[in-house]
Amino acid sequence: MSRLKPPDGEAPYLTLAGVSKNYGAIRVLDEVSFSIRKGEFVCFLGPSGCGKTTLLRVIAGLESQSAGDIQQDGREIARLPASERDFGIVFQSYALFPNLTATENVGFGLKGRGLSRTDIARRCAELLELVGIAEHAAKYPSQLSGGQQQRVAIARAIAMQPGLLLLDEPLSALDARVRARLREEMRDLQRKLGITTIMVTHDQDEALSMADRVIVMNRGRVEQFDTPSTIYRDPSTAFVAHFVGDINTTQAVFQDRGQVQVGDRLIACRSDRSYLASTTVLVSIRPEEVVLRPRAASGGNVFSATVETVEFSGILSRIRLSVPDFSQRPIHACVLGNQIEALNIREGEELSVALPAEKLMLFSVEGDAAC
Amino acid sequence: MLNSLTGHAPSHIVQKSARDERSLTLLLGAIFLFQIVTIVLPLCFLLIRSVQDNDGGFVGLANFRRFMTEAGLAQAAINSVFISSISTVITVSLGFAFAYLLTRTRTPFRSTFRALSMIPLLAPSLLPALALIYLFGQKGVLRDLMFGHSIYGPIGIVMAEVIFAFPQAVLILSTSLLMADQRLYDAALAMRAGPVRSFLAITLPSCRYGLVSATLAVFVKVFTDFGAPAVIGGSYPVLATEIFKQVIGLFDFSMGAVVGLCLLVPALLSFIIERRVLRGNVSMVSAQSVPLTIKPNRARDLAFLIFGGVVGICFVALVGITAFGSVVRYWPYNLSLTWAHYNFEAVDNTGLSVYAHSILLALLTSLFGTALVFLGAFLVETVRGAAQLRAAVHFLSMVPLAIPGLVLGLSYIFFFNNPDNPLNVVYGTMTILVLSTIVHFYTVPHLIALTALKQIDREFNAVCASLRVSRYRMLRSIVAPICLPAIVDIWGYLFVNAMTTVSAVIFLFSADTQLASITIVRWNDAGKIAPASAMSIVIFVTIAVFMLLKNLLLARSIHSTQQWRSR
Ligand SMILES: Nc1ncnc2c1ncn2[C@@H]1O[C@H](COP(=O)(O)OP(=O)(O)OP(=O)(O)O)[C@@H](O)[C@H]1O
Ligand SMILES: [Mg+2]
Repeated sequence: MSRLKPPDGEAPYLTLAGVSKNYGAIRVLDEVSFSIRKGEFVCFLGPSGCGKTTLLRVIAGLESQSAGDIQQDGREIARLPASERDFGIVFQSYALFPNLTATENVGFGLKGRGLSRTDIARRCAELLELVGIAEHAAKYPSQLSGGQQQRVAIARAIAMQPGLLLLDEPLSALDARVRARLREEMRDLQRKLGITTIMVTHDQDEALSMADRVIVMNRGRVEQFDTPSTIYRDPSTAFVAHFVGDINTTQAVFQDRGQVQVGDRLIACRSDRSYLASTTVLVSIRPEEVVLRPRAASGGNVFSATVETVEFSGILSRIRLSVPDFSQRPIHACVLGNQIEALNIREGEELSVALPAEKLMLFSVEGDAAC
Repeated sequence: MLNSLTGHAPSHIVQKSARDERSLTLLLGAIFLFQIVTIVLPLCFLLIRSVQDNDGGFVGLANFRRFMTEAGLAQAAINSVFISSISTVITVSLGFAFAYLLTRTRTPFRSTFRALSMIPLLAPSLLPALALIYLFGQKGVLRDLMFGHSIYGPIGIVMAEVIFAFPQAVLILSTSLLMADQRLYDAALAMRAGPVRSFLAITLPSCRYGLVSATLAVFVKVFTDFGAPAVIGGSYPVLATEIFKQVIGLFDFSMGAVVGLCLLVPALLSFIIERRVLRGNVSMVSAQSVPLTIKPNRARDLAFLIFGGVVGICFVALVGITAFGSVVRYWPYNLSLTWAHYNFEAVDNTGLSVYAHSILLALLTSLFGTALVFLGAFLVETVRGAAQLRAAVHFLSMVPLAIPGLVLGLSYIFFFNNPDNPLNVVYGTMTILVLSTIVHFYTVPHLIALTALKQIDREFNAVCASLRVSRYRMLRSIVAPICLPAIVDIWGYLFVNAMTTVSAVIFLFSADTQLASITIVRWNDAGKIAPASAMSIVIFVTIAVFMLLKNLLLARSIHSTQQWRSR
């Protein structure tokens, strides 16, 4: 759900209202509206081509929008060129200047602003220290590792003390382990500086673990803007539910509040969404909410099931079950490792699954249910 | 708080443009204007002149009719086509074999051969012609090989043109032969195809575009070349010398314009053909291609060693014989050595000043040309809006490739020597020589610059905007240093070509701006072969020294300021 005003009534730092962008006949951004608080870390999350980069560039003024307003720190900026806005930016490619050393890269924007040479040198040293690569100050980008280059890019982006830091997939060019470490470091740095930050990513783990709030985008529209836990627990559309985390979904017919019909079974559902009676809806449940019980049984929200596969992975195990009365497709359940023994879960074993009414989510069918 | 515009959305929100953006666009506009004045308007004047008589009255197509019916001119056109066709066939065949040697064999001394094959680029096109006169002329040491034919005429022209166009053919063809996929050859081997079969079935088809573009480039180059026929053509008329005769000899400017248009025809045709052919260009080499591994083959490599040796020796001999001819007292009767022919002051009173003019022209052209070309390419790449303006500047930067130097020079006469044109003050000065030379050689440097600029991360613009650094500083501190090798290449290309050019400037020099390359033509016409040779050698040595210095300096500066290039 997009909100124009942040919940606590504090004045927003960045507000977009009805921002749209067309490339010829193609609409890449469609009426995007949201507000971000000062010091907040927000992620744009969405599948490839959904318009995340475009939106980021519109905010920076690197692209001009077709319609809509942008306000940053109380200032209308929609018509300002990038060079008159107030932001620092880091690209996936880092775009470091190859002919300048790490220090010179960081100090590039500081020159010619009435700062003395020693002031600039001191500030560059501080910044490199801050991002943890002081010992590489004199190296050229080609002599730095990917992770080190990324830190130089961040130091350069915050050197001018911008009010807004924009990051376009800053971690995606790195290998998994460096990425995990940098995630934490970046988050800490952002907290420490208190700089309002927008990061584009298509990695849901990254978005959920780093952001204060996440904007999930699809086809140029904002699907949901909420905290990571709300996005996960209470996705507002089937698209969000499927894009963020794992989920089991089947079609159902809405009966009345508290009841849906799946196949020829009526089951209880405590979702607060309401539809016209006999509307076709989607009913979904996260794998970890599926409750497994020994022995086959059926009735109410309990279905008999057959174990297809068991996939161990550390503390949690993923179990694929066929539950013909609920869905043609197999459904997944996540259970703690020790339950496997307790419940005697083995391939081919018959047992029953309970789908707690308060954990079932309802979504309308239109949109991208299949994603 | 926000007055949302979405209710009555305008089709586009126009950003106020940044200060540097506005001035960059203005600069781009200025370059466009420069191109209009130096390319488009002169060509228009040429076109107009072709349908006027020499007093400026409109005569429709009468000049063209006269061209068709006047025996000499029509014959010259036929001769031009004839000479160009033969030269093209020979040059492309030899060039292909030579490029094959460089790229597909393991012949020893390949890099030496490559360097030797580029010798003609360092000399005015007149030098090979002079060498041929020494060898096969009436007093030539090898004149018996001519079996009574004269070197002055078609035979001499073709030989000189083949030498002249050879380096370009080799460059194009070796580029296209370099791209090869080992897997195709492995497949051929697996199907038991012999070397001839796989050559015909794989090698030739895979470089057919290279062959097409080499053929077109060589044909156009020969068709429009002035130097070789002027020196060795004798009384054999071709269009390039005919245009000169019409304008300088007969003062028939209208006929000059018509002949100029004829010289444009092959370039335009080749432009269209190349477009057509390249459209169907499906590369046989893809990302998964396996680079060719060339196995040694004694017989093949020996054959190519002999071939390369002969070509290499020929090129060295050309320079050698000309150099020798320039230091002997009286070829071939008195072979005692003397520097007398290098005493240019004694040959005529223009003497050394022509050399100074040439150096000046080359320095000014390379200095201003490099700045202009690089700035133009930078603007075409980086200005944000003004898409049509950028496209127009790019297009006009490509046009000079299709304009023969003679045509450019002639159109400059029509445009700049016009009493109504306020710009006519430049006529007869060094400025117009510099202008015409920059324009004449504009396209290749433009492409070199674009290629270098395209390798630069596009996001530098965005980063600089976020750092509130102007694009001028970005150009100075980032883009230019990164492109330094390309800039030096452009500078060298312009310098060398300005030193050796004849065709565009031959209509434009004045008594005060005589050039060395033109003096060679003049002295040769007057039978002063030895001083002409001496001057050719001086130009050749100047260029060789210049190139050496340039490469040394570049290596130095890469060593000291460009260490970031190495890991
Ligand atoms: N210059 C352009 N002209 C036309 N269409 C464009 C242009 N730039 C982007 N698009 C289109 O706009 C859409 C959004 O592109 P954008 O780069 O914002 O996606 P993204 O969400 O950042 O994707 P990714 O995760 O792959 O980076 C895409 O469908 C793309 O094809
Ligand atoms: Mg993107």
